[in-house]
Amino acid sequence: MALLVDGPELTRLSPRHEADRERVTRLVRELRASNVQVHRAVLAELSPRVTRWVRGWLGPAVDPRDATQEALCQIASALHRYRGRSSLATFAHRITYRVVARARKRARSHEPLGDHPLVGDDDPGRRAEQRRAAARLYRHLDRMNERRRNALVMVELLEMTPKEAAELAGTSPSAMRNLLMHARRELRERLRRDPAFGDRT
Amino acid sequence: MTRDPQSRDLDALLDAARAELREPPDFDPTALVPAASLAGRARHRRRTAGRLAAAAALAGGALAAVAVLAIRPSPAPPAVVAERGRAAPVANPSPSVLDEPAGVPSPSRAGEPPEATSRTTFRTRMVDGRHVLVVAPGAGLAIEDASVGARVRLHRGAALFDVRPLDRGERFEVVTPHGTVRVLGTVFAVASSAGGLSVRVFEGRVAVERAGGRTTLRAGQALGEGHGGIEALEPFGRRAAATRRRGRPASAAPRADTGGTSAAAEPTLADARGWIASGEPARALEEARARADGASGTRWRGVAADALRALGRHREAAAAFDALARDAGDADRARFGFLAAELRLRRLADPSGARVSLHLAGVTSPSSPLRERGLALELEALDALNDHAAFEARAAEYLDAFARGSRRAWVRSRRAAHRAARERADRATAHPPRALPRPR
Repeated sequence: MALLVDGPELTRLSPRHEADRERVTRLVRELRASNVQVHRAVLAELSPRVTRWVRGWLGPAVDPRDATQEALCQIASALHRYRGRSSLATFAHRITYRVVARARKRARSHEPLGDHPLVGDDDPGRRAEQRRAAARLYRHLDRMNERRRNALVMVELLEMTPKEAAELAGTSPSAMRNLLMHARRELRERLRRDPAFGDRT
Repeated sequence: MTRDPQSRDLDALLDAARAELREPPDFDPTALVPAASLAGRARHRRRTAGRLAAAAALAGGALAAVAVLAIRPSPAPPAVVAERGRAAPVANPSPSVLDEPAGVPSPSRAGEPPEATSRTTFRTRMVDGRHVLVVAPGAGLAIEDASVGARVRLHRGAALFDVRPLDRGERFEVVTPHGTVRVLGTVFAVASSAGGLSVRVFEGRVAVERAGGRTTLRAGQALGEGHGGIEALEPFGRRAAATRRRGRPASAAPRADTGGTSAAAEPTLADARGWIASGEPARALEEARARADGASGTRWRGVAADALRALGRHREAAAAFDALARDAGDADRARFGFLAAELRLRRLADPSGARVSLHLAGVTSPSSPLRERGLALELEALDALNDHAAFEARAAEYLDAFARGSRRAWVRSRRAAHRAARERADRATAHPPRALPRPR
């Protein structure tokens, strides 16, 4: 089918680009008609990205599999509602964020494990240190103001531009940059109070 | 311009987290696509069916039924059904045969999931407009209209059944060459192969009748050797079971029970830690205790201690961490000791016990990787005990070793307070109140 062959990935098509508009219209039509081939192709394109978003939002302490599967399932059941007003990636990211928010609430429903690493594997080397550092960052992130946390995750970890992050969060790019500035300030303050960090020269 | 240390720390942490995200996940995301596509579209169809039914009811018309997918009738081979020792040849079952098209890969060996390729399909079917079947690739089954409900004949392969609660007198049966499964409203998977019958229950109860007798399986139980189709159907089953329980987590992995062994994979340490993180510490504790004497026993004991902590059983958790510190190697001893001490001080209001945990594990020794945190924790304990002399000694050690440590301001402030209190106590000792003069 031509829609699946011509041009850039389906999930990157944007109604803002004139060259993409015709394909977006065809994509909307095929998804509304529940075209299985297009449905599967879209999900296949999205699955690595959804996985990355889920890992970015949840952090290394939570197994991302269930949330990834639930997000893909919800995206699959919502594709017929896609109207082409944004890219499919943005459409899917919004759904993923809602799934992740519920997953985080479930993860917080038990007593927090405190400001220290879980008893874990003793992986030697760089990867173990990297993982521990990431876990430490997320422990601080999970205690931050939610909007600032989201700004930091989107821009610093998921490497979105402030404009893309603003679109996802439903705010303006300048408000997003402001949130980011406050987020970094809050995190620096938390690190200053973290007894694990002695001063480094 | 020199950047402040916290900015450098923050950048280092962000770099580590970004690098961690760039590492590939420990599962294949594309393998989730076929199941998600089927489940998502089935969900959409059910919602549509619900809305149509509501609209029809509002309009006062007949109920709308949802036709699910195109059916390709093809002749089915006669099936011999063994049921309670009786063998009854069945010829030409009803035309609702749902054989998978040729060329779709089937599970090649028991226990291996079907290969996830773009041609792998999981089909969803409705039975009686209420019950949902998810048919694994390579399965062959037929749906019959029985006088007392629905009957599905599973010739080969595996399928998942999400059966709505049945009316009084109604039955739902899955008939295989090796036995019959009867249900009362449940979620379960059945696989039939040359090797026999496998059943796994995710929610509710089923009765399995074979030549050897009848077995009742409850949620979490399984029967028979593992089958690749069943493993592949596990996500559907867990999700359906969780939905039935209104959002509570899906049921535990099935375990071996009467009449057979389950080939379900053993949970890993990562699974158990994930249960703690997702609000199922009791499940993690049960698994950890069962595995504490086997391979990786120390790590499982660590998971058990973490699970106890998450359950709020702080005293037991502290004791578990202390025991781990005693048994652990150098690399872990300080960490377990610190965890025990932290629980004793902050949760059990036992500063003396906390100090004992720290010292027994050598947390504050010069070679300890957690020396700064250990000293800071011990100072909190000494502060709570109001032990001025010991606080002074430890504070001096902390400030000497960690002159720019992050707790320095607190340590200096409390040291000053303890000095002042000690001076007052010394003055009271050196100059006791004079005895009153005797009246002349």
